[in-house]
Amino acid sequence: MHGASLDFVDKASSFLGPYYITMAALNAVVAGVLQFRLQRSGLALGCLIATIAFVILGAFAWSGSLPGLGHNTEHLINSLLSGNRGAVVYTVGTAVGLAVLYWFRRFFVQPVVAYIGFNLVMLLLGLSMTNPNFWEIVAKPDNVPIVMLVLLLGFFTWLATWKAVQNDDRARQGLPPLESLDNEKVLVWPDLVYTELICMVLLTALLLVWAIVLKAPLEEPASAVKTPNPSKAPWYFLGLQEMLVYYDPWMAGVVLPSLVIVGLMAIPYLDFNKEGNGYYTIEKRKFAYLTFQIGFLLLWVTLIVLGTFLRGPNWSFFGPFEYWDPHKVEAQNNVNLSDYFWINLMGASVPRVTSDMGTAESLWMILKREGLGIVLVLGYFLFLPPVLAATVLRPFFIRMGFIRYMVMAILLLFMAALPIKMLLRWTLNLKYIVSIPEYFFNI
Amino acid sequence: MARAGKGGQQPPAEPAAEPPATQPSAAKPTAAKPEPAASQAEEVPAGPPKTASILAAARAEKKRGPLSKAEAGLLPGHDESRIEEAIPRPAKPVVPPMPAKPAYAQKKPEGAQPKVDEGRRGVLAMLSAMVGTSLGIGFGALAGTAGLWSLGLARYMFPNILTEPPSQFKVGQPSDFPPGMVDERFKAAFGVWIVNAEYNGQQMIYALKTVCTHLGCTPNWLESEQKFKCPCHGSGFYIDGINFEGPAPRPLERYAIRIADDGQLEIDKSRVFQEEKGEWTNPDSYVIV
Repeated sequence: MHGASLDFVDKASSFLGPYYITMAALNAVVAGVLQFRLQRSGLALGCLIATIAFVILGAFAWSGSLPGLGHNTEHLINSLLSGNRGAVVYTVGTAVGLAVLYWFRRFFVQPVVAYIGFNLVMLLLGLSMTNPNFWEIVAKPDNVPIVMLVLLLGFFTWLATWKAVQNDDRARQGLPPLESLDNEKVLVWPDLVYTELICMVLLTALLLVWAIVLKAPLEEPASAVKTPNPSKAPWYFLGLQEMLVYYDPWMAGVVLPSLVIVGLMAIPYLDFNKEGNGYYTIEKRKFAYLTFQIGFLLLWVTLIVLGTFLRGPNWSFFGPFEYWDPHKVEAQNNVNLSDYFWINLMGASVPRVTSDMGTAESLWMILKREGLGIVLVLGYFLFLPPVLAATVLRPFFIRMGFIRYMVMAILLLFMAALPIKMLLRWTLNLKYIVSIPEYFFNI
Repeated sequence: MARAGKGGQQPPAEPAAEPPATQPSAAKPTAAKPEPAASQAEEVPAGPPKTASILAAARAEKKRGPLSKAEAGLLPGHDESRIEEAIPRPAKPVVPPMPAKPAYAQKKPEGAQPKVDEGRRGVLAMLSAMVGTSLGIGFGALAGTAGLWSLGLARYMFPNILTEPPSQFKVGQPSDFPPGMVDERFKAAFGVWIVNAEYNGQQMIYALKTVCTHLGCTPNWLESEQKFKCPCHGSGFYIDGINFEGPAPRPLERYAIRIADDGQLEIDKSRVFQEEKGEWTNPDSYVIV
C-alpha cells in the first residue's frame, strides 16, 4: 500500500499470508485444547473468533491487499518517536510501561490476559510490517533474531512473574512455594540427558533451516572511505553503542562495562537476603528484583531495541515507520557544562589552554574551567552515599556495614549515571559535565 | 570383638618395633613380612592378591549406597552399628621396615672432595658427553630450528613492500582548492580532507584528519548540511573541524601543511595539531590564501 512498489507487496504478502495463517492455526489448536481438554467453552469461543479473524487477515494479505495500520496512525507514531522528543518519549514510555506492568502484575500475569496480549502484539507486528520502512528494519536478516529474542524475553519474563505472583499469594496464605511441592527427583541419566539430546537435535534442525531460508548478510569489502551509514554494532553490543552516545569512550567503553561485570560478580557478597532461595518470588526480594529488572530490561534490552529499530543514518532518531533519510537535519548542538557556567552564567569567555602555557599553568586553567563539574561529580559519589545511608537506604546500611554498603551505593550510583546523563542530554543538550579533552578525560 | 580375634594373632606394632638398621641383607624384611600377612587372610595366600579376593572385599564393604530408590526406601532406620559388627574390618596393612642404606648412599666425611667448580664442571662434562648422543642431536636440532625461526620472524618485521602511503605528499596547487570546498579526493588513499574555509576570520587551507575524535570512525562530509557527520554515534563537526553535536569531545585534528618549493601544497601526516591544545595557531597547521 502507500504507493509501495509491486516488488515489496509481493515480498510482504508472501510472508504475511503464512504468518497470519500460522497465528490462526495456533489459535485453533488453543481453542481445541480449551474446549475438549479443559472444558472452558467461553475461552474456546474467543480463540475461535481470533482464528477466524486471522484467517480473514491471512486471506487479504495473501491476495496482495495488505491490511495496515493506516497513514494517520503511522504518522502519529512517527511524529511521537522521532528526533530528540522521540528519545524521551521512547525511554520514558518504556519505563512507565514496565512500571505499569509491574504494579498491576497480578492482573497481567493471568494466562488469559497474557495470551490476549501476545495475540495483540503479533497482530500489531503483522499490521506494521505492511509499511515498507518498518519492513526494511524488521525483516533485515540481522534483525530477525532480535525480534524473536524480544518475543522470547517477553514470554520468559511473563513466566517468571506468573510463578512469582503465585508463590507470593501462597506465602500470604501461609503455604509453601510451588517449587517445594514438586520434589520428585529424577535421574540425570536418562531423564535429563535425553531431554538435552532432543533439544540439541531440534535446535540443530532449526539452525539449518534458518541458515538456508535467511541468507547471512554479506556486505561489500571494508573500506576506510565508505563507512556504512548507520554503522551498527552487533545487536548484543547496541546497548553499549547507545551508552557511547552519552559518554566518552573511556567511560562507556571501559569503565561502565567493567563495572557491570564487577557489579554482577559482587551480588553474592552484597546480598544479605536469605529469602527466595530456589523459588520464584517478588515480594520477598523486592529490592534485588527491581534493581535487576531496571538494569536488565530498562538499561540493556530497551537500549538494544532502541539501537536496532530507532537509530538510523548519522545515528539520528527515526520513527519506526519513517524513511531513513541520511540528510535528515536534527538540531543537536551539545554544550559542555563549563560553557553553560562561564558563558551563560558568568557572562565571560571560557578559560582556554594555549600552546604557550606551561604544564602547571595549563593544569590550573583546566581546573578553573571544569571546577563546577568536578565538584558536582565528586559530590555525586562522595556526598550521596552518606545521605542515602541516613535516609532511603538506612536499613541496608545497618544490615550491611560500612564497606559493603559503600560498594553497593557506588555501584547503584554508577548504574543511575546512565539514565541521568541521557536525560540531561535530551533536555539540556548537555554534552559533558567534566570535559578535559587535553587529557582524554570526559565525564 | 571380631576385630580383636582377627588381629590378635600378631599385633601389627611388633615387626615395626624391630630395629631395621640391624638387618644387613635386603632379603630379611620380606622374610619378616609373611607373619602378619598370614594373619590377615586365612583363605588368601601370600603374594599379590587375587582378583577374587578383591571382589570379595569390595562386596563386604560396610558402607554401601542403595542400588535403587526402592531399596533406599525399604530400609527404614537400618542400624549402622549392627552392620559394622557383622562385617569384619580388614587389619591395617603392615609397612615393611626400610632396608639399610648401602655404602654409596652413606654421608661422606667433610672435606673428602673439593667443592670448587663442581656445578660448572658438571654442566661442561654433561654437555661434552651429550655431543653425539641422541639427546644432544635432538636438543641441538631444536635450538637450531628455534634460532632459524626467530631469524625468519625478525625478517618478517621488515617487509619488502610497504603498502602504506608516504606520510609526506603533494596534493596540488592552492588554486585547485576553491574557497568553501571540502576536497574528498585524498580521503581514501591518505585519510585527509583538504578544506579551504574561513577560520577565525581568515581564509585558509588546512588538512583535516578523517578520524572522529570520539571513537575513531570515519565521518562523512554532508555537502548540503555543511558538516562532517559520524555514522557511528552521531558526532557532528563544522567545516572548520570544530565539534558541535554528538559525543565527540574535541575538534578534528589537523595535519601539517605547507607550500613546497614548486608551489604545490604539501601535507605532512607525521605531525598533528589539536585545537584544544591551542595548536591551531601554529602557522604549520594552515596555509593562508
